Amino acid sequence: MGVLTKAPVSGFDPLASGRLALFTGKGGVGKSTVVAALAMEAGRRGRRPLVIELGHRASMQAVFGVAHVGHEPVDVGGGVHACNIELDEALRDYVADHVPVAALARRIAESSSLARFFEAAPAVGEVLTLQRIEQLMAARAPDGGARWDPILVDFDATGHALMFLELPKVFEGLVPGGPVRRLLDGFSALLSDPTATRLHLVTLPARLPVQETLELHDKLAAEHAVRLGGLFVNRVPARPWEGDPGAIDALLGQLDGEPARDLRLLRRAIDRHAAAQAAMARLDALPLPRVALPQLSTRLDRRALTALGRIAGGGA
Amino acid sequence: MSLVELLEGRRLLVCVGPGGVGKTTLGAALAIAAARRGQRVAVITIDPARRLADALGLDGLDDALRPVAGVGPGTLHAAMLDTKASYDALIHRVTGDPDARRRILDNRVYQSFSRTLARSHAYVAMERLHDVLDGGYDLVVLDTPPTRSALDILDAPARLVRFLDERVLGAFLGHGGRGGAASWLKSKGTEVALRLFGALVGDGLMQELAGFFEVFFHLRTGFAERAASVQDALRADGTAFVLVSAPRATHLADAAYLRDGLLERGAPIEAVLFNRAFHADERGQPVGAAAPYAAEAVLPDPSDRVAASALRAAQALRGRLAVENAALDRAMRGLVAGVPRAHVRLRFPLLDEEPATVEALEQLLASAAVV
Repeated sequence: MGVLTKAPVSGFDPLASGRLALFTGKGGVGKSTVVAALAMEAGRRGRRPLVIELGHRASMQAVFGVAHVGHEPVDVGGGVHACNIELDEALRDYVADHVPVAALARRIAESSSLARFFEAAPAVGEVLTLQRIEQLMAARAPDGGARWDPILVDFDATGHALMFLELPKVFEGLVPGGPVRRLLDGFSALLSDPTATRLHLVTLPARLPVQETLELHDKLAAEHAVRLGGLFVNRVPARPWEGDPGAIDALLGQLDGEPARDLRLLRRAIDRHAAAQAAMARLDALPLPRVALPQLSTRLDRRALTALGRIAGGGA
Repeated sequence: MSLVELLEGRRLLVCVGPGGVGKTTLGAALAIAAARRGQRVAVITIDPARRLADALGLDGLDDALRPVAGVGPGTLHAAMLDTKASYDALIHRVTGDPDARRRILDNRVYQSFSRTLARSHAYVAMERLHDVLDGGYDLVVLDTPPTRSALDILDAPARLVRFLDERVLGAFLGHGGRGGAASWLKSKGTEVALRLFGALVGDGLMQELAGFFEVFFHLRTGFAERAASVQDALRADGTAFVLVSAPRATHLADAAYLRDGLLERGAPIEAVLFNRAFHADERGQPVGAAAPYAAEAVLPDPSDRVAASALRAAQALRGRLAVENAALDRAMRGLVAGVPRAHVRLRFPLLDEEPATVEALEQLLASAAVV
């Protein structure tokens, strides 16, 4: 873990505020890793973290090395629970919550025509997902405190997160009253409550991801009331050699064969490091606390995840 | 089997995979390769990175197919699938009466459906695919949205056909439909269920939804026919699915989920491609282990401590990259083992810059190594 111990301390603690922590960023930037690492850190601190994975993926199974993460939260170790949102289960919950007579609720949930309707209808999946998040937010522990704290939501892509943030707007005026209206109002209030919710951004130290993050930030700041949290830059490469790259160029003129090939690898790694630093420097323009997470050369096992979590959590 | 054989005699390649692995990039590269072999090719991309869109001549203003220059002797047309634009075009095409058209375009459920909602993407991709398959191309390459939604594209035709069953839709709209509707309506459970659904979502949404489904009710025959024909095309002999992943644990797990979902649906996965899958040397070859040597022994000036330090760092770097490459290889083989039918198993190098020109895409394809 040599790389990890050298990592800088950000001093920013994303777990300190906002029980609902949302994470977004373009696909492939490593959101699931950041979310899992922070959940491990919350578990280490004795909190009751829950990871909610959206989009029917299997990332959390892989990160935590468990057989299955389904609709009900499962213990994935280290004090962390994780779940996926499955729509048919969520529909059953929803109907059960709103139809007091159990037999009737069952009948609705089992009606084949309604099942077809839900399969095909727009918005149903999104509304059910909101309902499920609200339900998990409201769950109580035996001691009366929140059952889940924090709740970390791993959206599967930037567009997905934006769509959720826009849901209340999309349905404005369309649903004047009733349970769905209350759900949407509740979600709007939750999103814009700075004590309850944070939206964290995840990116990579490369030109395009950084550019997209700058654009996403501006869009979020201009159009959405959600309070932004931290900016996580994932897989930041360490400097591969401390010396002057010019010395390598000079040496390359004098060597050939294996040593020259090795030196060219080193030269390229130095260039990549410089490019990553330059890309990150552009993020200085954003008014968000920044957390740089090191590139791991080891497999992402629990030890690595825990170490990464400490850095992501402020580097205590 | 090589990439050439994958392209040979194909009519449709469907690229599926988790988000962020470079499906669009590899899909575009495959399309270019086919055009280079003299085929008339169309590629439908979804949300390409801007520089790739530029390279393909897509300006993002609409979703029309546009020719890509410099890929001869064949031809390549590329389109970026824009859900809203594609829906509006569809409504214009199928609705002759301007008033009816206006009613549809102004319907709020239609607007949110066509603009924002995940599932609608699958329907429109299906419609678009239908058009392009009829467009006189030798090969169509279809890019898909990440993971779960890729399965939606497979499921969408059947789901829509089931839903457009006039008994279901008719009852929802209060039409009662024709034919078997009466018996269906006698089902008390359905009636109660629909009434309760109305109470749950409220009258406003119920009315807008009714208006929205009204559209589909009138379009249902055409929709159903196209859905059925796309469903056939997805299962035809000339169709192959290309599973694209990257070798990170999370990507592999998502890809395995997708693989299992595709196999369950009988989709033929003929190729598994891994992007950003190995550290390459300057010739694009995977970095492997090498026999160690003493830095001082190869230096012109053995007392040059800076040079010795650089060489030691370089050797250590190569060692690390070789170990990582070996670990990545092992990880990839696990995914591939579950797709015995996939004869094309290739990995592509980690690049310093994402390829964003026709040349860079061709170069990427040329640096493929076997898994």
